[in-house]
Amino acid sequence: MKKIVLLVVVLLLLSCTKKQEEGQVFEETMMVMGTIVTVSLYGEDEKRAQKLFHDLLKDFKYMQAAWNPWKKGSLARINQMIPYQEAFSIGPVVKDMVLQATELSKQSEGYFNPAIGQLIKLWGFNKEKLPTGPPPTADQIKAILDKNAQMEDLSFSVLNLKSSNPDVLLDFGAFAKGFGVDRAIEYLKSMEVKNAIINAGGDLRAIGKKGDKPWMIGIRDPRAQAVIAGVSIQGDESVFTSGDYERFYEYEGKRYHHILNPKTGKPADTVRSVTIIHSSAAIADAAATALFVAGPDNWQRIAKKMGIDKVMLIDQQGVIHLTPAIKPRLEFEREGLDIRVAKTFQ
Amino acid sequence: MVTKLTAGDFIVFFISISFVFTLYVLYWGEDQHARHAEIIVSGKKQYILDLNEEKHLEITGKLGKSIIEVSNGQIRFVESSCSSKQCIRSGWISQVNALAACLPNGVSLHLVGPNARFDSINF
Amino acid sequence: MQLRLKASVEDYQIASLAALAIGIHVVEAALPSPIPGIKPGLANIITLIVFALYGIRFAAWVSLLRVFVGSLIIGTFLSPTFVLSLSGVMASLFVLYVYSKFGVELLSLFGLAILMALAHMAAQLIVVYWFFIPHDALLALSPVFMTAAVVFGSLNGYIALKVISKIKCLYPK
Repeated sequence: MKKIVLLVVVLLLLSCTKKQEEGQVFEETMMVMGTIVTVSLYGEDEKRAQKLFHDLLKDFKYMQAAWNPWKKGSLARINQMIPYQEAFSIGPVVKDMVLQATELSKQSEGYFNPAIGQLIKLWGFNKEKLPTGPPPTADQIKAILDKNAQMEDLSFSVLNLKSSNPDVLLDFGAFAKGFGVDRAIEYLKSMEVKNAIINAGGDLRAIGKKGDKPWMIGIRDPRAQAVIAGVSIQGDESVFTSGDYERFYEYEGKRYHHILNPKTGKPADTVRSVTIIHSSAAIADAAATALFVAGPDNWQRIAKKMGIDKVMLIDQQGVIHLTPAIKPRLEFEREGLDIRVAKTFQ
Repeated sequence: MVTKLTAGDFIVFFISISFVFTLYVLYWGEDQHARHAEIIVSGKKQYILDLNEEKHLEITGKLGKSIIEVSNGQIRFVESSCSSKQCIRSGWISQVNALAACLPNGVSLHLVGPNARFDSINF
Repeated sequence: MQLRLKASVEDYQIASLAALAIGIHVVEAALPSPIPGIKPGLANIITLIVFALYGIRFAAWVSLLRVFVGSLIIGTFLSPTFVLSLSGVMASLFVLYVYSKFGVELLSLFGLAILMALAHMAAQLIVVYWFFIPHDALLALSPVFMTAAVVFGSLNGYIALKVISKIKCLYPK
């Protein structure tokens, strides 16, 4: 017995222990930027995660105030000054937003056009409370379309902005979320965070992994409370979806949703949803809107011009159109889906 | 003191195996239905509800009341003080990671479950 | 007047067995395991043998000594690891107590070890869920942990049974 005890004691002295740190995902949900934002962090300890959540919330609140086109804020002020058609000063961050939005609008041939604030106001989608109808008349819509508000009407010199068209009214609803998510991710990266997901109202950007496993994203079916396809994130990617099911009202049996076609002045109704995978959230946000409006006939051309190669478009018949690049990335949850790969897309 | 394997030993062994097997079936299934709903009010987790328990809950948010109903593994907003009533329109939700919210009132429902195959849902 | 603490032969035997249990526990803690939280729990074999030879009080002593001294040596005293270890051991000792009162004729060390292992693991999962990580992901992991409990419980129980039957041959008590 004594010998065994001795042996054990010797072994004790020789042994050293190292407790493995098990990673945990910390998640925080915030109501900000007019939607629900969920931030997931992996590889941080609880204290640090809480501090990061706190900082992000502050940043989001600031962005929300600054970019609200209708209440007091930088964007609202710009909208007030534009009709004067005189040069006025703007801040550098908003300038970046406007510049990027202009570039994207050009690339999308105007299918993404944030200058159509007056049209949005006409339909009533600028308010938090959804309109109840009736929808605007054809004459009302034509009156606004004739004003032809375009991002190209804006010109810059250093930090001064001037509009040649008094009827430009900027509404970055289809873009601000993506821009804000990009900023928030850059902030996390600057704080040396390697693994995170920021999900703002269903649109998200993810970096890193969850330990050994990649982040798994479920894309919702536009017509059901279920996931239609899963994506595993590779590196730093954004997944953005524009759908006809998010904000809408019904009047006399017809559904009117909030994604307006800037060319027809009416809700774009050829598509149920468009999902984009792209590195930049701002570009993905604008592209999802642009391709949704462009519809089954034009989306491929616009996607190429905007530099997008991973698209899933679900049309009004439920047919799923994919680009070759996105096909290997998606894992569909159901059998019997009509899936077509756009072969002419290179 | 017994020094050989008894019948009781075998019974214990087989019951344990069945028990463990049941655990696999329960918690490793591909079923994406959530088990619990977290109710977040103004950023704070205020309630965790078991989706298997029928329940009617009145929640007080920024604007006023929101009424939540739990039934058959699903949850939904029944009434709310907001003007747009969008929360009510999203209807019943039951999937893991699904969300429903009354933004004006600051109330959101967040579904959680043991089989979350996805870390986040895009919609 | 001299006060001498006289240690009996039994005391020495128990002390050595306790030391052995502690040693096994510490070495086992040093070994890497593919899944954190799953260990063969070989020190439990000592607990079972002590119970069979000396009864429940001494088995309880050896177990608790193992948890306390082991944690002091490893450096986890009063840490969450220690709390978990203690919870597990308390639960399995409770099972042992019930067995000592009612089950001695019904089960051998084999069945006992399985029950003790299940109680040990279940208690740890409950403690983790309530005090550390109230997350549903834990429920998803429970089948794996409980499988380990059944497997290693069976293994340890079988080994203990074999050892005892050999000893009983030599020292029928």
